Amino acid sequence: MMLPSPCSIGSTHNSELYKHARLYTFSSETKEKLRKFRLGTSRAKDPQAVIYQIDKSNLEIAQADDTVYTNMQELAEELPPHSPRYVLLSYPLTLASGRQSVPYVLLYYLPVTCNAELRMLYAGAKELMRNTAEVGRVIELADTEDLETIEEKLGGEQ
Amino acid sequence: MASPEVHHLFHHPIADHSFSADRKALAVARDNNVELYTRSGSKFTLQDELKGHDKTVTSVDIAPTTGRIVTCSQDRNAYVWEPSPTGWKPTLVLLRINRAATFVRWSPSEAKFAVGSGARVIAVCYFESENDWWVSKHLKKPIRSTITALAWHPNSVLLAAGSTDAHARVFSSFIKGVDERPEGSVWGERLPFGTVCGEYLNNEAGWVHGVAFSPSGNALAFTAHDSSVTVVYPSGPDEPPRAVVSLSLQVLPFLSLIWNGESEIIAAGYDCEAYRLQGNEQGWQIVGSMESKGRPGLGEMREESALNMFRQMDLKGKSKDDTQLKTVHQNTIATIRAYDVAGGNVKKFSSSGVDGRVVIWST
Repeated sequence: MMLPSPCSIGSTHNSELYKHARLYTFSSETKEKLRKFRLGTSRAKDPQAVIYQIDKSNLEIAQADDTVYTNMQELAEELPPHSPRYVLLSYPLTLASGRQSVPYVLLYYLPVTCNAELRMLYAGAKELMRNTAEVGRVIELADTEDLETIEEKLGGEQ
Repeated sequence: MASPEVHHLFHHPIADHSFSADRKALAVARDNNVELYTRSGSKFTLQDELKGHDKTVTSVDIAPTTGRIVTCSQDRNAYVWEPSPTGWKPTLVLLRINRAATFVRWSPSEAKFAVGSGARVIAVCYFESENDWWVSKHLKKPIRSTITALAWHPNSVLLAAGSTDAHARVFSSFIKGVDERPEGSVWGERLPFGTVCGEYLNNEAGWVHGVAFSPSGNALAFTAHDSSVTVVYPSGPDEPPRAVVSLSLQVLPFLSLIWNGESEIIAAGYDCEAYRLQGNEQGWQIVGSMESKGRPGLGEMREESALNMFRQMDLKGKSKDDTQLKTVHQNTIATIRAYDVAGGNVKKFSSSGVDGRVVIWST
């Protein structure tokens, strides 16, 4: 019998996901969309980004709107100034070595002006989001201005 | 000139005072709390106390239409107090400053308020209905020191700030979604948040203590610690101002000033009395004190002076009672605010000071 452990941050054991599922939920539609997005963007020529938000009333994580953003400027304008959001970003890069790579990352957008309730809400679901979307890294953004330097941040760790 | 209405509330300094729109309620900052007084007849009686701050309350402002009270304190916080049937309910506003808050004022639209601080930052706060809480945006550049005074332009977008770095600056605090786009004015057009529309220095680089826009918003006056009052008349954005008139005075520095129409300023400060200045773009001059020399109360003292004289000689060994100032206020006047305004002209103004008195004057 699997007893729930009090702290499972960083654990990717599948049964731990179901422990979190009591709090935050993904509809099967959303999970399907996540899978399709992840698989479909690796061949894209330009950046692809989607915004995810948590519905405060039922704690469901779903896509904020149906747009796939290909322009970082547009994405920056769409992000709200005082609310956190998750952004799944696929960004084609040409590394210094000449190799092509399309990193798939989770942008954790958390402005400094958010209230504590929202912060806790999004912080609690961060690991779940990361695992469900099966991203490689999580990059934290405090401001939409940080999006301008996103390419450097992505190229850095490869 | 009608005699002033004196309310000696207590024997502690009053950092700031504010009247409600109907002038029946008076909020007064006293140490760590704000005391609310209501008018009963000709006096003000203590009605309520707003307790919440941990350190000295530096400024208080009551919004005329909504009735909300905003207070800020040296404990780096600001609270918005809402009236409710069970008393006043405070809402903490996270200013995100790491030094004391020095000054706070509601904008004329009352949708936002600005807080000056010792953190070299002005926090412009507005209510985010989506997340049901107050959010603050910072005006940082090019402020180099503590903000001592703030004043809003009638359009609720332009904000004048006086600082201890000896500059008086005009910023744009336009917030999308909260403000309407302002019409172009002499200060500029298309002003995104944080634009500096003007930066003015006074002659001796003294700390700026008070700033005020004229009723039309087309002129800015500020007073500094070098006993000067400077009036700026801008001509347009990116252009040198039409006129900058600096008036150096022989009286002690003023701490606070208000406009009475477009060509008169009433200022008060360390001299414990209010002075009247008049002028225009060509020049400004000081006209005189707002107090008549024989202030009320002085006359009565002279009548009993024979009895008093012998009593004084017996008690204290001297015959003249000169322990009191000849002015109504017995200590520095820290704040003056318009009390009775009609279309930009001030018929009455109120003053509060270090002596714990709030006095209402007629102009």
